[in-house]
Amino acid sequence: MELKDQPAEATLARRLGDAPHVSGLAFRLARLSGAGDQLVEWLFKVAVERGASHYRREFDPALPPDNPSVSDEEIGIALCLGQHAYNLDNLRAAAQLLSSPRIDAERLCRFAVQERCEPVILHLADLARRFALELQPWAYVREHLDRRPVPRTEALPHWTRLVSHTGVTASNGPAHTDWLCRNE
Amino acid sequence: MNNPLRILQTLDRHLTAPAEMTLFGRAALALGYPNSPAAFAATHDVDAILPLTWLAAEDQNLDFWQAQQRTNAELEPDGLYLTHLFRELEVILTPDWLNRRVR
Repeated sequence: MELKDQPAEATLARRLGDAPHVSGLAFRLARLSGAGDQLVEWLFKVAVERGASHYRREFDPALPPDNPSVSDEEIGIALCLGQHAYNLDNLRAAAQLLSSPRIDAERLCRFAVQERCEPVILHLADLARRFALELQPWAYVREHLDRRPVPRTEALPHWTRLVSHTGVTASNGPAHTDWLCRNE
Repeated sequence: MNNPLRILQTLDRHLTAPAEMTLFGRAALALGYPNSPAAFAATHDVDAILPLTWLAAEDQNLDFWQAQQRTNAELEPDGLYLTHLFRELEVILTPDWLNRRVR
């Protein structure tokens, strides 16, 4: 098969108009976890178990268990890799998992650069600013992570997909919108 | 200080078998051309192209991936890394690019 005949994959990177790299992080996590080709499913399950509880659902019982040696930052970044098939929920789960003061913001930024996830991570940080100006690690990310523009961003989550919105309260109070932080 | 050279020398130390890499970008210019701008040697990473045939032989490349991981761990304190590895499909190349590389 010639290069020009290779099928165009619907990856996150392609949706952003970006060039995906072959992630050594993904390669390592696939082997370390035992998940192999089910790496993305495993990452999502682990993110939910570690606190992205808004996205709780039934998972394949054959998926390997969590591996504590894999950091939250690595889980979050790995969910945002451009090489993955496009799935908005991956980014949403990463956003909730990473929305915690326990996240090492400096480490998160370093991984974002190494794994070319700056556009995704900064997008989440910019949206978080609307609802929680001082929330970490997003405040740190906005200040320290260099922006790497991509041609298209409409594939990234709209703010309404990253918040909890209460339209009517018991006391007839105003609608309430909260950024979805990690459940911990 | 030549960061690309240091990154590749570190990788070389961690490899247990010969490996071939195709560099491109600032690292390639810093290492491949004697009068390249000094700023290119200050880049914090090395970009490389991975041929499709190489990627297809996944189990034969474990040594490289393990060496990459150890390289990144060793160089992390200095902010250097080797992670931007691109499939040849993602880089604008001529059809016979493999045969036209500068060694």
